Amino acid sequence: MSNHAPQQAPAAPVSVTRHDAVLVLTMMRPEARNALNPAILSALAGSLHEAASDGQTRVIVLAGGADFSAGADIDVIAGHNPASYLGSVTRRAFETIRRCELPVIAAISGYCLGGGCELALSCDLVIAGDDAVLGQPEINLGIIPGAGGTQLWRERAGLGVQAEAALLGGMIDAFTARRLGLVDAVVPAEHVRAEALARAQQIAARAPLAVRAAKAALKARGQMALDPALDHEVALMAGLLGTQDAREGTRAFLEKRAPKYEGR
Amino acid sequence: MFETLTLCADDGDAALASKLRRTLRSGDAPLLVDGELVRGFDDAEAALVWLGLLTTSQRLIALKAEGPIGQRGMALMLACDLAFVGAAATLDDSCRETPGLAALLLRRCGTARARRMLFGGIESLSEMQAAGLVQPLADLERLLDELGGVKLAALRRRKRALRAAQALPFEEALRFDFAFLARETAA
Repeated sequence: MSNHAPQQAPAAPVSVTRHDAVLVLTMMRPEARNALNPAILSALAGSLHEAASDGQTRVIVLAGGADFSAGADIDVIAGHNPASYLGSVTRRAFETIRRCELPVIAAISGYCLGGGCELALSCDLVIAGDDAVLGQPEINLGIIPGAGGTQLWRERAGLGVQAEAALLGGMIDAFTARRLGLVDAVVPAEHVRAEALARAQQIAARAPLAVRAAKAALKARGQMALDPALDHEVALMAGLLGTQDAREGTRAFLEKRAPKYEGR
Repeated sequence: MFETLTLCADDGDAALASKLRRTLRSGDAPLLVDGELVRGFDDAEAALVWLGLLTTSQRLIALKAEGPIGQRGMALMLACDLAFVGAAATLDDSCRETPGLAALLLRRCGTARARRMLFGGIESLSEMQAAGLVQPLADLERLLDELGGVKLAALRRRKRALRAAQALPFEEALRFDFAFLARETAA
């Protein structure tokens, strides 16, 4: 008989649940306020990558628990040197998340700091619970945000707000974040997941090819200047005109009925 | 029902901020602030901290004033959800120069009255009472009776909905409050 206690399989760092065409990814490290370690980030990146090509998922919700995420795991950061950080799992995972071709909605509550905030702001929509607190406190540790925290606030809230977040490392509450345009809605914290899911289901009911094209067009603005981005939008729109979904959408509108999209 | 936080004459703004932070973290019950209210401010940053705590808390916070009210008392009176004044309460002349008065008044009673109080002089407590900014102390007893039958979770929900109504666009604030109903219905 072995003296070893039976080994439990380590808990999955991210729980994955499906609601029809919506995939909900929930970070599962509540004992550490969902501090982001390589296991969580790799699992998120892997799930997002798979979802983009599984043929079923149309929208993704990214959630935490009482806290969305208090930021990067300090032990992990402390263990990096300049060379190892550049090639780290963390960095690659954030890139995968930002490049996801499907719409992603963040459902944030409690602490949404550092890497957690960067993760939320990488999403297309951010629904905040009324207890959410956002911030990039990295400057207080002698470092800077390293996964978008010096860029992503600016896109939503402007340069001044971005500079204040990155240079002062303060925290703002959900209502202030809403006023600044940093989050898209504030709901009771206990309802944040349901609200994000409801919005995801609304998007999932739209024509799938058009939703993907809209996401691609939105992303283009961050990757190219306005004129090429507008050209890209025209090209995407032209491509959609040949789809069955576009024909169904216009036919349903004229016939005053709900469209039935098939993603073709 | 109420947890009480009593202010002492030697409590500066830093001490008040610290006491308030500790107290607000410690429970869910409505909080009654009382004690010495005549002193002024001595630390702008700390004062902003305790004013922020008062105005963003999810707990119902009331003030009981039974003596002279100075600048700090005035700020407390306008930042708390409810203010009850006794017969011996009086406004100190310094009240009209209370730092933060414009923002606190605007938040509490709208532009017209804020202008009147800022430029026409601070009204007496009886005028403030007539305007609904403060209530007689006798109302506190009535409130205690009423709140005795209300669950803490319900009070907290009302306070959260109030914050949402102050901070969010109208339709979103409505949706915020109705989310509780949707949750109860689903349960």
